[in-house]
Amino acid sequence: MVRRVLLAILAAALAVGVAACGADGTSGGDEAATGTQALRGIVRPEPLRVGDVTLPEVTTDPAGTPFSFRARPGELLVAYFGYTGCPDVCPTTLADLKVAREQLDPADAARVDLAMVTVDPERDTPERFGPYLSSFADRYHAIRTTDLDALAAAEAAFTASSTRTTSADGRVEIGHSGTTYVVDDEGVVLVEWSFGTPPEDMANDLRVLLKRERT
Amino acid sequence: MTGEPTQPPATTPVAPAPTAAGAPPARPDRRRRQWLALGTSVVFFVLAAAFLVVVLSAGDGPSEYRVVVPAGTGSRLDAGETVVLVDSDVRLSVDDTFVVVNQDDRTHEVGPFTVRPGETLRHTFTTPGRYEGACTLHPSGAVVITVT
Repeated sequence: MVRRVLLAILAAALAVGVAACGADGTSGGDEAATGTQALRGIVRPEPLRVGDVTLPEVTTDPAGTPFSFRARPGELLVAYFGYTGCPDVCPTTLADLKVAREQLDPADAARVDLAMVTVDPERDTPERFGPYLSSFADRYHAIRTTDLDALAAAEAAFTASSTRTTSADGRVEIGHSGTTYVVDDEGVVLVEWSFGTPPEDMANDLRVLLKRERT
Repeated sequence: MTGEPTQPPATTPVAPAPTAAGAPPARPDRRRRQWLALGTSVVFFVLAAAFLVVVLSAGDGPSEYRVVVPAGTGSRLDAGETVVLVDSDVRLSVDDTFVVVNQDDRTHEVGPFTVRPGETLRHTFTTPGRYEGACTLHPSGAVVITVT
């Protein structure tokens, strides 16, 4: 009798001790244990749907071919709104994206496409826009429209925004949101990266999503 | 009869009386060891439970920074009111969660997040860094979230 009570108490104490060790918040092994990986970017409960957004692309022949914001089957499309004269946010984001793609296996990197929409169509001419993007990616789509209403509608679909003001000395100042969007072949935005998202997080999310696209 | 000393009669040890089941009773020192082990286990169990309580109630676990945008906030901004619903400089730790509940009828930008009408956005920061963006809910027009 005493021996049974003794064994029961030892078993309970062992269970409590194991539970205490597991309550310190370092449960990073969940991903490996369950076989699923978490996205590090922003995921909306109801994702943005941008597959019906179509704007002209200037890097095609002929220029102006309509481009729809959907990835090719089995691929991902990274979409971004910015301009070539941006001093900080755009070059930083595009450089981080380049680093993220370099962290992928070559086969995965080849399945990541890039589309940048210029929010400064007046100054981002095709002659300037295409070469700008080529310095960040070997595969890209330069999207440009001088129809500001169409541009505003596209921004609204992505919840992106931009502003254009002219200062007293005539300088044009452009403001824009700095979010990057990862879109699937149905035009669903799977994850969003705010400005400042590290390349490692981008690479993580791309790997996770490319694995899903493969299955 | 002479005075030769005599040996006392030899005595033989007497075995303890057997129990009703026929087995001899447990020795007292064995029972004492059992109770000692039982008492030690109880003490260990109590200490382990106390440790678990301390760990679970510790104040350094992940926390949540919550921003609620009430209905009518956009109208207030249109009327020129100063609206402050979020700090311009937010300091969080890894695994902290930033939540924006937009009860207004228009989209609002809250630093790195753009939240649609009626949408609740939750994001847990898993990587240290500086995340920033425009903000419609602070007079400075911008919010920076620093995660360490």
